[in-house]
Amino acid sequence: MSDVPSGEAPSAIAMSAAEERAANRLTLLWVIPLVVLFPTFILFGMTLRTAQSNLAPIVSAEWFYSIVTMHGLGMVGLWFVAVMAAVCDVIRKYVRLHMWANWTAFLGTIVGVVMLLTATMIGRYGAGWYFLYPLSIHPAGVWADWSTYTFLLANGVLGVVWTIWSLDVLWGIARRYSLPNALSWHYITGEPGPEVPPFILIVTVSLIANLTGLISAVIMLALYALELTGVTDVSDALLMKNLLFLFGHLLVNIIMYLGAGLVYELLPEYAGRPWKNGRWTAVAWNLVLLLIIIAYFHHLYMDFAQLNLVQLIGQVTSYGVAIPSAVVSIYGVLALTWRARMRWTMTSIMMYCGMAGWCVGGIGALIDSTIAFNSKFHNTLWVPAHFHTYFLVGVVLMILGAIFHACEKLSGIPENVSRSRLAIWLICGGGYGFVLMFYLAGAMSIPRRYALYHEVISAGTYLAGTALVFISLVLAGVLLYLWETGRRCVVAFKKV
Amino acid sequence: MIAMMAAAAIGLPIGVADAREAANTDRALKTPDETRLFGREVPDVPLRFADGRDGRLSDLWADRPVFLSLVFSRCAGICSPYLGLLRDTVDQVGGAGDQYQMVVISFDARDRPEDLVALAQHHGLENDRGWTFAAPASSEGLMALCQSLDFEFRWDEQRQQFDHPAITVALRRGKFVRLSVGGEISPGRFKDMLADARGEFVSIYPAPGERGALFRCFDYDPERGFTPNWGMLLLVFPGASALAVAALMFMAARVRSR
Repeated sequence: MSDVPSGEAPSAIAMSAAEERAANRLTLLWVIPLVVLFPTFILFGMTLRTAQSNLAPIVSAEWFYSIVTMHGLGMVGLWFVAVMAAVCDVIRKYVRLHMWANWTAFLGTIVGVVMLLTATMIGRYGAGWYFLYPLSIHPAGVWADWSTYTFLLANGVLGVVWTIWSLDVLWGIARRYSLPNALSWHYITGEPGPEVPPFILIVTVSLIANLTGLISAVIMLALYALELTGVTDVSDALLMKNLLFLFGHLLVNIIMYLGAGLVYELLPEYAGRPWKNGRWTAVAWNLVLLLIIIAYFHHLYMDFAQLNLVQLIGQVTSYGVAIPSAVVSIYGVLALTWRARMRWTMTSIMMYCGMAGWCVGGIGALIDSTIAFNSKFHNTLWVPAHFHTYFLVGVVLMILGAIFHACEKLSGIPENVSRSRLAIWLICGGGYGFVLMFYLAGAMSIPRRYALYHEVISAGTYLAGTALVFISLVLAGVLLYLWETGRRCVVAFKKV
Repeated sequence: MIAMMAAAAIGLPIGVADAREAANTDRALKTPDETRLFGREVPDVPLRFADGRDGRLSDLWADRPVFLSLVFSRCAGICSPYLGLLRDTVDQVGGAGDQYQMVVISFDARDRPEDLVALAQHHGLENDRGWTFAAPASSEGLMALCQSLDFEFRWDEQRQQFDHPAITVALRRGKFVRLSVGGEISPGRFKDMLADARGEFVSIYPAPGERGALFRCFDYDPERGFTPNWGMLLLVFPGASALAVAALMFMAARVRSR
């Protein structure tokens, strides 16, 4: 351990050729769910907007909510495993991970996704990705009991394997760094300590927060099990909603933080400059750990039974958790790229645009987390507007960039500039057009979660129709990206 | 005839006399859907009451909520047992004639006031002011009423009976509020329907602090307001335990590396 952070790059750990090969193969295997599921879930989303646009009466209301459930939960789950796979690929140069944990996550995720598809597409489970109590287990005959059990069991399977995965990465970090060092406290206090990449700091913060969410999910599933087995007659709806959003809010935010972590680690390779850790970076990300756990209260502003003090805490912590991390990260990206000899490639452009999308969506989220605005926007399409912004044109771009980086590096096939530029234009152009329709609908008070719009809110119908044009562009861009990435993945798989 | 077949084809209720002329179809009768009916206005159709008076449906819903059941007196199937069970439920709940009005309407044009009186007598309801037996004064009125409630019925030539569901709907000032389909309404269900029809809040799960749940976030007392309950600790536990697990894991790794 050095006496003070030296400013030099932390040393990489040595891996045997066999270890390297096995890890690379598994990274490449994770591309398969991405290639299969990302376009599938986009098509699910298009189906929803088609139904809302009245262009084709392709689904009944019951089907609409089943598809909403699968689209929402599927996308969140997909990007969690994608970002974790990318993080594992990158973090291997700093810490040693167990292959069995990654394999457990891979196989468990496949089992979980199949169960979710069965529950929603065959059993028509349709309580939404947030499966709020009591609808989640009291479907009034809309879907069968077995699909409820399958859905909850699928969440249990995913929760267990993702917990194992998270713990293994944390264990890997713990074997190299002490907890205060991993959290970069020595940068804050100015005391001696090792050089810690900001990537390690962000992953440590994110995975501790992720554990919080996963434990919350375990408690929630246990309460469901008690009620379903007849041990209890009923559950407290407010408690269940708190637990659900403690889990869901954290999961979604962890994906974004880990995506930002990838940018901290990979973008410097394209800028030709290091992205060093520092006091303000450490302060910002430690604040995230402190505040993210209670920021979820902003999801419950509409719940009158929640104490007013708790609602105020929700607003203050929402600002407290978002501004430092976003400001430090955005400032960092601008400083890194300013007058740098940037190599603008698929990866670097996607990461840069992803940070911009995170910023835009984050502002939308901050507006929504302000109680005065939330009382107007909460049940409108403003909500899907902001989370589609920081996902589709935010963290998804960061993750896609990181995955392309891995596939390009392992395959040795250089980037096709015209195709990569076209893919980025299609995804970003289509993506911003698509979310704009949500924002406009939100500003017009078009409600969310409606399968069909009443004539008094018919504006929602043509906005949904217009959104379809933009989603088609996104889909085209995604397919082009997947073609470019997929063929590199196949070549890389043969090479490694 | 063509008009009736067209009406049947698009799922509209078939008029009474015409229904018996209409060809039997294999299509299953649709059961009314509460979610689609909610808030729908029911037409104020002219009625002929069992005592021979003429009036309108609005005469009944003007003062209190109305529970409306559609039956026919010659029914050899569900109508009579259904009314008997409904009467038992109403007796248990009480308040008919004061808090709400039970209205039994025949959808068979052959039913005359004397048929309705006989039906009421069969159930011992002929002198109960909480119960009103009537039939629409015209087939147009009957059609409009049935359409407004998505109530379908069909003449079965072989059985010489109408196929129809057993339904009771709760109305508040002429608007649909709740629906019960099937052979029996439990007193609890009936009370829920009544509370809804009176514009009272009907919860589908316990209010905060209400007993029953193992863990609760808050207790509620009208005088003290909301106070945190021990269940709130379940929200603190994930964060505390995650930090503890992380701390232990890092300590264990340090110990192992020495």
